[in-house]
Amino acid sequence: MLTLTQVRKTYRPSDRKEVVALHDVELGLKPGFFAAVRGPSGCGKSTLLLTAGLLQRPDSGQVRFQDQDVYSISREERAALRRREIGFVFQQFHLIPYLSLLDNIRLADCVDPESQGAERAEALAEQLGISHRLDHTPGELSVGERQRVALARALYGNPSLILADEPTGNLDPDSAQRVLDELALFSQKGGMVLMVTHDPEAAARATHPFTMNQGILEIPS
Amino acid sequence: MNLTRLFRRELSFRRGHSLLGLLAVSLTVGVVATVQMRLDWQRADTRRVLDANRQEVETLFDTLEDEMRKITKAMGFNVMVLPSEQNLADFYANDFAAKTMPEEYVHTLANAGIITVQHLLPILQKKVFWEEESTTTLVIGVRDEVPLADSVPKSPLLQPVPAGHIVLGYELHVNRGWKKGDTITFQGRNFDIHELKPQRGNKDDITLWIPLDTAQTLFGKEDEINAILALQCKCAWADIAKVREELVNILPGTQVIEFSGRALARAEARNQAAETRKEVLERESRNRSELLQREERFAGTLIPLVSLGTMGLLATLTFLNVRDRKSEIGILRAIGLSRGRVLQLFLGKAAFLGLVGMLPGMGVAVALMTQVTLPEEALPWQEGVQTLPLLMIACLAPALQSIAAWPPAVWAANQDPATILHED
Repeated sequence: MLTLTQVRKTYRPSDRKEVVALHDVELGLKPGFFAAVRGPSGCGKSTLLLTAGLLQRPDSGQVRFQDQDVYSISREERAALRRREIGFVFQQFHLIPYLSLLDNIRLADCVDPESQGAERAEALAEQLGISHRLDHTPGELSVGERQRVALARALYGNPSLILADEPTGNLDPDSAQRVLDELALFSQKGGMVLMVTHDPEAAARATHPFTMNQGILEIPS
Repeated sequence: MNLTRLFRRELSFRRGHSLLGLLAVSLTVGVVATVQMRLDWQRADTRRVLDANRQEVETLFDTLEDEMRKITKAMGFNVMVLPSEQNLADFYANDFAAKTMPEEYVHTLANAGIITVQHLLPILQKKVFWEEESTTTLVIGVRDEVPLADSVPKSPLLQPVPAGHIVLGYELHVNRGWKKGDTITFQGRNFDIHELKPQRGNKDDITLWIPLDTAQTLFGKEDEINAILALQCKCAWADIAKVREELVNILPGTQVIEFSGRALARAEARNQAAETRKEVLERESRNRSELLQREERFAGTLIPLVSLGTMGLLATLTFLNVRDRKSEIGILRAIGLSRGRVLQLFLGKAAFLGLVGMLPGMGVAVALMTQVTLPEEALPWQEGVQTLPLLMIACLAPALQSIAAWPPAVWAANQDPATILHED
């Protein structure tokens, strides 16, 4: 369960006026929820994702995840919680260029060597249709394949929440469809997905669509 | 998958960067180790040169001392026993002692069994005007040497003048056409010329020698003498005080002066030579030390400069590495990698480059040392090379590289993953 209560985040660029990225945001995600947040660039979508992902402390309000006020616990505890429970997918993939596809999927093993292992990674690669390129590096993969690797990396630790930032932004329609299918499948199996996107078609796949404008999160009418 | 694998893959992926780092460390270690080994060798070779020089000088000095000892032993001291009431200023001014003492003294001395005196010669000496030749002359009445008791007979130093004979100094005979055997008149008495002395360049040239008893009669000093020559005193060359003490103890009414300082002069000359040689040695030692100090100062500048340069390069390379890997840092932090582990990742890389680069660096140093042409007599290049400083260089290479990488590594560890992931 992920709950954001009265979450507020403000940026103060040195030479410009204050920008309110999150304006008293209220959001609740339960297992099985696939939430999508749509909005124009700079409306605060990514800030929402990073705050929900325990990476960015809000100025005020509370973020609770798995019954914990995540910004009142220590940095190490927050990192451990993130490692165990949250998977990230980004528009820019953030794959490590010198690691093979298999190693990229298993990146969490660097932090927790006792995690899933090669079999789990291979099964995910099989599931996402990239098992024939396990030894390839990201530079040798297509854009769609890279995003599937990033998705497999997010799923590798059996998280309860996937945070996806424009996951289909750089993809062709077929690849985008495949990624969205996987996210939907994940939520159907009891996981939570919070996706931010520009793409109306991607947002349409969500069970709980939201819009965001100037830091204000709304349920579309 | 683990951090070690990540570390290895990254090294291999950024090969150019890694090789540049390795090269920098190798060259630095090579230069520093070469300078260190060269200094060690030079210290050892300087010790060798100075030891050899010292040995040479000591041998020379020992030889000189030995020669000097032999020479001065052979020469001995010539001292003169005078009556104690004789004023020495008058003696030096007149070239003879006006005061006299009993001739018996010489027998007392001879029978005393003194061990330092080799020859005893009583004389009666006086400066007189030679009426027949109208010239001033120094007359010395001499007799046979007095044999010393408890002593092996020695060949006499001075031949006595036979009765009725005379010996003439150079200035007394040179313009008079006299020859040995001629009869001449001195103070109304006839003498046969026994010997004509060659030129000596001292007061001997105006001296004439006649038998002691003749002189005593001529000067009205029967059984009296005014000096005893104690010749070739065989004591330690510098111990004239001992001779003086020994003689005066036997003859309380006398005083003793040294009248020939040649042995001392020679000894002093040799001492001076030895001192000069020692000074030369010390000067050479100083020069070698200064040369060594100059090299040490040069090393003291070069080593920190090269080390700091390499540290700067490594810091820059690490900084560039961090910049290139910001996205990687962001995602690693997002999946839960701690700051400490990020720090470890970058410091570990620097330490690894330091450790691996150190080995070829040592190889470079050894290769450089073996290529230097040394003088034939010099020590082999490995002589004097100390292991401890080289071990310290080996340990310091990775440590210094880690220190150099510290600021960019801390910068990497402090990267905010939210900012990185947001930027991208």
